[in-house]
Amino acid sequence: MTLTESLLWSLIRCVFVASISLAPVAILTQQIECSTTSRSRRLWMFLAVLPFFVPELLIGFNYRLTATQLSQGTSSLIAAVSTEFLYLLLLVARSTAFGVAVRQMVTRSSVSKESLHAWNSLRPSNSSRQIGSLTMMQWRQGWLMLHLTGPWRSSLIAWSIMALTSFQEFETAALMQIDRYPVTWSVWLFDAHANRQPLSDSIRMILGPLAIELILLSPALWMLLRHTPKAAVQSFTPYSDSSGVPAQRLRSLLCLFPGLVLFIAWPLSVNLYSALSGIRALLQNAGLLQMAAEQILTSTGFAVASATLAVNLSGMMQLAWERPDTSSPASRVFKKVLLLLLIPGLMGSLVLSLLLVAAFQSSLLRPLYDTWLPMLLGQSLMILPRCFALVFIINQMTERSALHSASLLMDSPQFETRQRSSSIFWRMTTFRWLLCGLVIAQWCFWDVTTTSILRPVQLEPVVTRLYNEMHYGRTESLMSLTVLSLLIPLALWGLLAAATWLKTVVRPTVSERPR
Amino acid sequence: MAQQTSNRLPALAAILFAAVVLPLFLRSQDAKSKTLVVYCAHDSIFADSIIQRFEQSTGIHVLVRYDEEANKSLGLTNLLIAEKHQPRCDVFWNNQTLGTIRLRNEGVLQPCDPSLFARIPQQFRDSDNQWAGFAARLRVYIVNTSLMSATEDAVQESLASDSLSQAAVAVPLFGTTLSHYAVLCDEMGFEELKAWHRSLRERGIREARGNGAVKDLVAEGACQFGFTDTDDVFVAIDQGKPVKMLPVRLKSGKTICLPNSVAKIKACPHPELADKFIRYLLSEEVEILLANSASRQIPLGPVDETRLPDDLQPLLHWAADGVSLDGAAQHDQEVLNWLTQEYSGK
Repeated sequence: MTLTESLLWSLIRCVFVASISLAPVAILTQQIECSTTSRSRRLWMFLAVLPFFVPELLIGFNYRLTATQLSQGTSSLIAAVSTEFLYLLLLVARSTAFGVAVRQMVTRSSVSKESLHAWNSLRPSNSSRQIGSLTMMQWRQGWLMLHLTGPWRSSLIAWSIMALTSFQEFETAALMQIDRYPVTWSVWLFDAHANRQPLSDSIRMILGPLAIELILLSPALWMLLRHTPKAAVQSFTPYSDSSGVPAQRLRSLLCLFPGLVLFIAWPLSVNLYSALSGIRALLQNAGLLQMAAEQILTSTGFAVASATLAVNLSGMMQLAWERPDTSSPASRVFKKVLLLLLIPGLMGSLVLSLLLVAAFQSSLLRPLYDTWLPMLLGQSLMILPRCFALVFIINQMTERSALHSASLLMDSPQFETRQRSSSIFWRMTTFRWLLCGLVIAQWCFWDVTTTSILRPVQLEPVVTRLYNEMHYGRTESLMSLTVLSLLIPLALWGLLAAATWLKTVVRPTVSERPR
Repeated sequence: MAQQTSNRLPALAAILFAAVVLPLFLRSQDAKSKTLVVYCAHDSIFADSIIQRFEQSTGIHVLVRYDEEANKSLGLTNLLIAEKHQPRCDVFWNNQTLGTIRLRNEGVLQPCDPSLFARIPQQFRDSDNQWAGFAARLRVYIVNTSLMSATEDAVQESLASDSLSQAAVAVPLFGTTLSHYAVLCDEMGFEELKAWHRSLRERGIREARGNGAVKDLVAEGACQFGFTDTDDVFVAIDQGKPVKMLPVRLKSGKTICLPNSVAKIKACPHPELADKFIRYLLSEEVEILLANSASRQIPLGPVDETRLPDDLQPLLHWAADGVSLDGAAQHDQEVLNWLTQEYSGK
């Protein structure tokens, strides 16, 4: 199969995945939004996005034999279809989780139902073709624009980002590939480079995938950069709670089912015993435990530094974009150059890493080779497109009036009022950024390609060791390391979140208020 | 937003400053410390203890970079070529030979003192003393004994059947399967190899992405037998899976024996330390340690056979029939070009 064929295959698959994921995303979003209590809202949200946090390598490891066993004793066509179907199912489950998270973060429509109704009432009749100065064509364009920037807006952004992440997927496909299925361009390119293809050829070959990624991302970029509402409208529909309606709840549970079974229940049931006995063995061996802790902390350190760099770069890019075009030509060029930083990440981690190796082997940068800079840069650039989208969305989420109200209440003479408003303020500012950092850092943490190519020889991040444990079939060690790799960074994040919360809330004073 | 972003600028500047300046500082510290850097394609769980023994006996600190399975052959061989103009690696411990020969041809290696290689038979070392082989693996059939009998006749009968949907092989673009194909090319000729390969595919052989995956397919019962390496079979045997191995034999009756290899990198930072490590790696002690490890590597130099595990004994005889890899090395690139065309349509 050629690169063009595998690209076409991957493109069709990602469009299909993103499109069919829209329905469960919509159902789950509705369920979350209609929840009457914050506890049930959080529970639905947690269950919906949980599959997204399960590392891809673990999923590939769990399902690498399943496809073969499903297709055992069948024709090669059925075998190929079975493998592709299983991979598709995994992608849909992950995309649904990601889509729900994106839709929760995207600001609501700036187009009210009243304005849609008013526009519909302006529709020229088929016989007249024109009403006043409005032609049928103009009316249709207006209708489409109102819907794109209105009710379809968050779905379109979610579709775009789901399609992009499905298109870029590599780890699961590479691990579960049998008889060259599932077909993905990312695995094709990896194999081509492993077959001693020169870097220049890899760069030439990446142009096609890059163009497709930009096309997939363009609806989200267009919406986010051009049609960002200053304020979301409140629906005029009286509040109604449909979350408790059995049919709605059943639909939501059905939508949760594939993700929770494929990503949580099945891997847990298969590996729980191995994980527990692996952890027991690890705890009994101080040397191994220390090595594991060092590797996990190395990965965590890199991930945190890369995420911090990426978030700050994204913030700068957004700031540059928001500047009015009346600024100097130099700043306009700067603005475009900043946006060009998105391109390396869209190339995929393999080509990006190889380019960085070549760059750091040049005479200018050679002294910095074999330091942590190449890996830090590699992970930051790799994550930048997704980070940029997340930062943009989070900035949109900030409701300035609510923030202002909370900050005013933080000056209250009443201690309890100050404490409550500080807590609200913390949730709307620090906590949101901490969550964003957690998502981005976990992407960096689990990326094996940049890590294995760019890491300095002195440091071994845990993800490369996990791959080796997987290869040798040491399931106990693999599972125990995976559990620790999930828990330790999460515990550190929890401590950080608790520290910031305590600092803000326990002694809320005017002077300590974040500004 | 503008205010939020401008607040982040000092943090950004601090990260970039730390990222650029601290590595330079630490790098200079590291250069002073005389640490040996080894790139190791042999499995880390087996190589770790060997390297630790060297550290303990010499006091030399070794930094090891292992070849990640995720990277396959993309890893260390390609990385050494990319680093050719500024090597950070002193010694390359490869888990086979053809990749090392490729590095020699690319000018990445330097000749060693011949006395370092004295223990290793001539057929397993380079004529220019740029590399030497030790502790080998064999290409074998892994057979699931619950599904078929583990005899050469049964395997040959299955291989000759109309359907190979119960047989597995790794995609021959990487690792020892590529070496296997290069040996076949040398043995049977290019056209016959192509015909053989197409016949396997036409009859529906299952193609996995690595020898470990082939082992899993057979050990889990998804396939009856497959082509893999001895160390993978021993992993399955140690896990209690119902598998046995048989040597892959060429028409000449020879087996495919693939040694580890060790080489010194040209213009490496610590050549004296590199020599010490190479001498250690080619010692009887290390070959016996590797033979007793879970991967059961086959010693190539003279060793005290009473110190070898029982299940290695038949492998010693199979390895003695090993075919020379010189011819295969000449066909390696040609075979890879054809396979790339075959699989990628390039």
